[in-house]
Amino acid sequence: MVALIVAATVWAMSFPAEPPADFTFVNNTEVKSLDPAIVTGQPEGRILQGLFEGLINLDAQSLEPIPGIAERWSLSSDRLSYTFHLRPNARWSDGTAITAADVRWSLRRFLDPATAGQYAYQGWYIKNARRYTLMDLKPGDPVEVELNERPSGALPFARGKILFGTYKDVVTLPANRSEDERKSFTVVVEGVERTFVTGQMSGKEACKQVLLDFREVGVRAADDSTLEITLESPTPYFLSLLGFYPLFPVQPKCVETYGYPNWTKPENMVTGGPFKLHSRRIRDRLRLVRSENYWDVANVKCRTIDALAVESAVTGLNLYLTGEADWIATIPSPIIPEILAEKRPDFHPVPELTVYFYRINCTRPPLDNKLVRRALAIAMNKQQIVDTVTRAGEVPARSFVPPGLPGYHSPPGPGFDPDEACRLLAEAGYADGRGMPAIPILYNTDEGHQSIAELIQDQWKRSLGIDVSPQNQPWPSYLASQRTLDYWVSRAGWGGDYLDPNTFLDLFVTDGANNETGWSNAEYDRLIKAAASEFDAAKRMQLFEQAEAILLDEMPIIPIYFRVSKNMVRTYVEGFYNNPLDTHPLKSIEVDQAAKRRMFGTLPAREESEARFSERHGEAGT
Amino acid sequence: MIWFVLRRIGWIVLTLWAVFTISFLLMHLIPGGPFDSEKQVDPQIREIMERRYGLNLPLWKQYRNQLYSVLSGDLGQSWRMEDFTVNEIIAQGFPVSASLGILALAWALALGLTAGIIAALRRARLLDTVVMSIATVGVAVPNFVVAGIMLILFAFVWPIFPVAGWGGLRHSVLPAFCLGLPYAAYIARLVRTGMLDTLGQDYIRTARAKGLSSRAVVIRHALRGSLLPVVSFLGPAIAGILTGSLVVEQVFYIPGLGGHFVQAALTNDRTLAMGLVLLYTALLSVMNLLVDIAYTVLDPRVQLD
Repeated sequence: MVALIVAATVWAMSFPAEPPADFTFVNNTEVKSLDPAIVTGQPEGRILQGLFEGLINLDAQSLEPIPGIAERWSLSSDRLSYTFHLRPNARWSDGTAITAADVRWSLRRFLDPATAGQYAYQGWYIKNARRYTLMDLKPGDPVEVELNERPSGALPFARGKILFGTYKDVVTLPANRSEDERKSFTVVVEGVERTFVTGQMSGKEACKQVLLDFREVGVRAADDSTLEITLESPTPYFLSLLGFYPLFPVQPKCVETYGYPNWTKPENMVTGGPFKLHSRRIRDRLRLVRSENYWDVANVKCRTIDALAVESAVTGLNLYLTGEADWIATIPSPIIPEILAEKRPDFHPVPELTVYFYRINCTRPPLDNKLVRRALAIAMNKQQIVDTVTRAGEVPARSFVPPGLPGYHSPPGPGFDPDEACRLLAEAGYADGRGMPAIPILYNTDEGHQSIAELIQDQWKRSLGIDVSPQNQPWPSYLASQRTLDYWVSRAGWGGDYLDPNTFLDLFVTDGANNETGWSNAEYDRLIKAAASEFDAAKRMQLFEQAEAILLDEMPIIPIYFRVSKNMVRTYVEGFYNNPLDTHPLKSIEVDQAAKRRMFGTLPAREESEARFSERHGEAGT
Repeated sequence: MIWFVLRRIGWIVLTLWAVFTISFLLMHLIPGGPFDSEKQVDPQIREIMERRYGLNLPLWKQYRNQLYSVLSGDLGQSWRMEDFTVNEIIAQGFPVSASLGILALAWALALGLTAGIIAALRRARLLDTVVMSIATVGVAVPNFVVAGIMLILFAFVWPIFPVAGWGGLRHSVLPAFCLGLPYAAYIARLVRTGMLDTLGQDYIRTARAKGLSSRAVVIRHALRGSLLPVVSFLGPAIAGILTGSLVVEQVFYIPGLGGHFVQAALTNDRTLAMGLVLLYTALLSVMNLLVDIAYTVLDPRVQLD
């Protein structure tokens, strides 16, 4: 027994504490993956912006596109073709050059349906990219047939051998007991008609998949350092998208040698950005070290960065207060008013490009009546919500598109007006709420959402006399209910991916995957479509403004408030800027270690030191 | 005895299979998949992703595939942490939870046994009342309250321990203390009851009559008999404590299995949840078997058949 306890103690001590990193931040959760083609979340983005780099970077403060792997670029006069000139000194972390072929290879992999990237649509602005991902083929199309066997000498996870041909047709073979559904493609290869069946079975010619010939997709490597990208239609925010992690290039050799997901292991991973992966402990910490082969290594100030996967906001705050973390991306809501009142120099909430709103199921009477929807919207006192529930200085929303997008001004939506709300409801035939069914407000289980729903329940009951019941569901069920329109009113949030109103307004086109309200308006669809092909920037914004005016008149959604960022960053951290996309490139971050030592006495945290006890007091009071 | 053990192992295998089947079906009642997020994807991309996870197959085929892979020792790729297999996650998390658990358990046993014996020997006196009141409070007060108080005292007011994290003994003291406390309280109560029960038995009177010292009577005879309820409590408790505490691991940000349990459930990580449920079931069954075997050692009157 005693031996066991001693052994356990020794064992517990054998988990080594690493020396603290130059910069440590709380990343809220374990990242889903470190493969930029696969992931979609913000915690993943924080890390991937350090590990990889796009053709374009976004300036840490202004979010303007600035040179990344590409040192310069030009746009054709029809605004459809970009030519990127890669830096001659752009290097992977293993020291090899980043070539235009590598970037093309990465884009192809990103768009490949076999990669199953959830963000693949971010690349569909490129000509024919959508058809490539969705295997959308017409007879006569040039196609590439990927065979199961690899070309001789290929790396273990390289693509199969490719045959080029002309597509004729496809038949789906029914599933039977031993095999799943498979497809049989007829393709003319070098004048000979051949049939390829997907899967591993012998017999007929087998293949992995048949896709549109990638040479039809608008990505071309003219030479080692020149990449041409042709778009479907002029896309003013395309450069911003290139600065967003899904389109970041990865090293072909590394991915083909180890395959997904093993290429993301610290011992295998080769990166193209300012940092490389040093170590990774699941749900603990992920350590980045500076990549000495990075082209701009002189301007990367941190040698090591730790990202902590701390789920609890309170624990995150504790780590921050004791100096073990220098940046926390969120703080527990209950203490926000207290922190704001203290006017701390390290907490500056700024408006973010994120809107909190309610979806209304427009297919369900009486919510299919615009008057009812408008009545619900203007009976909502949003000021009260931000003052009593969220309390971090959120802005009550009268429009769907958050303010702060360059060149765009949302039309004013209706404000709080309970009398008008009563009149509208009466006009719709439900005077004083008579005849209105009880309306459940759906939200995913979360105290914050619950408080808001309860407040709105109270407001609607008071002003309109209708019964409301908050209804919570766990995250997966909540998403499914929204998707299948199995709800009345549902809480939702949307964050912009790039600085353009399109990232918000294209949600509500008819049958859009994220519409989820059943709302459809032909004029709205026409305006969004027209904006996509409008050359003139000012006119384009006008089209979006007209579209949003329709949205705010019809009210398939009720915007509630615009979120604010809740970053708490030590004053000794430089190069960190609060911005509307809440993105913070690790490259620009610099820690004044002397100032940090002054604040915490000695180097805090995990360092071996007995003298620490007496010197750490100052913090609790700051 | 051997026959008994073999039969029990057979039952354990059967239990694991039943747990697997029930968990599989329950998880399938939850809508959605690993790619669920606020931003919906194009239905065609959704289909591609479902195919990647084998969700397009009929239910019985999914069941068959997962059962085969579990039987071959491969718990699959985590749905939520896609870079890792469930085997890797358990391999990293289990040692953390287990080493913390053993520390907590050692501390719980030391405190619980001492307190229980003292209370029993000082029955109905002040010391007994005090110890048992503390034990009652210890059982009743939830972990996170104790954790909060400990953090305020020993990480902020008197900063001798780190607020959170894992790496070395300094990081384990507070969590092990908080994790072990309710167990200690429970053990103290069990030992006290068991001791009082045994002290009244005939064989104790015989031992005393033979002239054994009071100390020998307590340690060798009374304690041994009163350990039975503690052992039957410890079996399942060890299984629970080794697989990690949900609350303590979250508060102290410890990368053990407890956090994985919670997150797997919250994020619909079916493969990870399945792996952890099977691990817990296996541990629990094995611990119960060991408890039954321990009974024969502690109490010669118990026979296994």
